[in-house]
Amino acid sequence: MTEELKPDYCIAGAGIAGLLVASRLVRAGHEVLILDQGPDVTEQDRAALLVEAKREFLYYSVDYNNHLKEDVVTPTTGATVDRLFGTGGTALHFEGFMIRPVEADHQVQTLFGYGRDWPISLKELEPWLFEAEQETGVSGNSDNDYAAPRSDPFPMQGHDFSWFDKEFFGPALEKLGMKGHSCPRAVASRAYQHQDYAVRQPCGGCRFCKFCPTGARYSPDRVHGAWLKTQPNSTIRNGISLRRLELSSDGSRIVAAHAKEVDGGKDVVIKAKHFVLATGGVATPRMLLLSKGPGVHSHGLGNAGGQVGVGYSGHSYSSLQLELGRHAGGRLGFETMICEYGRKHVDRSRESSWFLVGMPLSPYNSAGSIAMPWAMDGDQLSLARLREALPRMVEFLIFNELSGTGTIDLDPEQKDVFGDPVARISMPFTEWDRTADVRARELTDKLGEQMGALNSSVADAECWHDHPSGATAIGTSPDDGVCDSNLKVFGVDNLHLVSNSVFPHMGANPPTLTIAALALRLAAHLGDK
Amino acid sequence: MKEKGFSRRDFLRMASVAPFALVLGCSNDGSGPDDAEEAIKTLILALGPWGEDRRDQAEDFSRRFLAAQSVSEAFLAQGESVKHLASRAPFRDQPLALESLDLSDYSESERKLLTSLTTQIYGILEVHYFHVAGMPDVGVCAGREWYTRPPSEW
Repeated sequence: MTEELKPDYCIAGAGIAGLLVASRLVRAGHEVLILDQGPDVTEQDRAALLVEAKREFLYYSVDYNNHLKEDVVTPTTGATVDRLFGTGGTALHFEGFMIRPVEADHQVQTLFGYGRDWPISLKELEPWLFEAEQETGVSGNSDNDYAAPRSDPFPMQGHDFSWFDKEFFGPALEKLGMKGHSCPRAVASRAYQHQDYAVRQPCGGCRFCKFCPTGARYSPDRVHGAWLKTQPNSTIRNGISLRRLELSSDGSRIVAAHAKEVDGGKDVVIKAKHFVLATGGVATPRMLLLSKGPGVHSHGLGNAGGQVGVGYSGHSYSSLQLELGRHAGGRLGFETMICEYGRKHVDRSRESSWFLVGMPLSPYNSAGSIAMPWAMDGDQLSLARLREALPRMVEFLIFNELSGTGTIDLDPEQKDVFGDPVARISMPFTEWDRTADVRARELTDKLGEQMGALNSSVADAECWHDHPSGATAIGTSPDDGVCDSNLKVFGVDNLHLVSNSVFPHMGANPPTLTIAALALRLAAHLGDK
Repeated sequence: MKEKGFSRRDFLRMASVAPFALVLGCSNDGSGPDDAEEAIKTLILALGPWGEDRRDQAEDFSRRFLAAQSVSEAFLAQGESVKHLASRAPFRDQPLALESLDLSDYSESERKLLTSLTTQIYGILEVHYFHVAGMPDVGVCAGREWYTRPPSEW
């Protein structure tokens, strides 16, 4: 038996983008249905995961989707990228980075000859970035000389610099002609409330940020998702997997979204007036490719110019761990000082832009594995030396911009549990992309020297990418993009996209704030229609 | 750098578990679990950072380590080897916080077991942050000031 639903708006994807669009549309009085393939995460679930992580000593690898059936998490081939299913989406576990783009990120083709320009200027986006900071509650200070000008201060003051920042990181940066500054974080530095969402408590410093027990770190399900659940004109349906979008006979509109319940496979048909795909950097291009139709849509929705799947990108990372000559201090759970020097003072025609994070060794790395070689002398294992090294360990992590030469298409061989092709990712790294590791090694070596480092880890020559983006980009026409500046898919009147999938290009900054800004901008546009 | 087919988180997830499973294997050699657990506990107390004044903490940690399947499974699967190792000097004297080990005294498999267990123990965040570096334990709300002060003032 097929279930039929008829909301005003059908939003696929209950991540930060989908929930922000929904919250604005619901507030304006529209009937909104939000679908997500994953579950609703309860506070009990969150607490249980925290206990499991503590009990199993797995502070990092226990995660929100670990216990889900494989059917719920659609795989990819070619590469695996970090994403979560369920209300809250990948932002369930994001680290709260809310860093803005810089002007040049929107003009890379014009200024440097690679990638794609944004048809939306940073100046036009700036008010939406500020609104997104308010919605998500960002802490930060106006101390960043490398950032684009802002019209208003952050909603909350930044978190205080750590002793490590003041004693080691900041001075070392200064000696190299750079400046450390606060890191914008969606982690409350004081009790925070925006509109009629629940009050968020200030960070208590427990350092279990992924499952933040106090709610200090923004998580979309706890703020916008929780509010939507109280609204009569809003419905969030979990465990619903969107299968395809059906076009009208003339190909101008979506007339229905066809979905299935993950448990049991019951068919669900949504006949909405408007459809929004907020399904992230992988599922969005996949859905457009799966939803073929007549005429210009024969190769997928919005794909008349062959642009769906083109320009796929993300971030690469370079990391290095060091042992200083003395205790490195403590870490709050997130970095309090970063350096965006490499977003402004770098010749991007020759190398990628970047920003740098420095901290006492984080839970991302095993101190035992890294320090063990430093404690070995032939056959002698000095446990005393190991204990001496651990408190002195620090790490640098560099977020690198990528040129965006990847692609996503449908894998002709691998199918999901419903029999549809999964997304196939190809992410080649160009020579330009590869400049990042050489530069990172040079930079971190210099910083280590300034900090009086005794030892360093073996340089990590491996690379993985994260923050999948760009495969259904905003363009000026079907020849250079998939959707227009209002995020409407070319050739389809009532289908909009919102996620980092629409980024024509992504700078070194993590994408979450820009996604949130685009979501608020889209909601305003839809509200005006 | 080169293309990788997995994310930062996948890499870390794998790196946190794989080395020990690869080194130690997963086949049980038939030893009694209780004896093997006692042997592992003896090794943990000797290799870890806890002195006599913190024996209670050490024993509590070792109990939780043994109960945490993700970290103990690979070592429990080597029950006979672990028991044999724990019966040898210096472990048979049940010391705490050994200063050093001469690995040439041990067979290749015993060396691997000792270095793997040491790596595992000191890779656990609680050991690194709380027991060795002296930070407040992870999961405990420590407030928003402590990390701004030098370690001597924690």
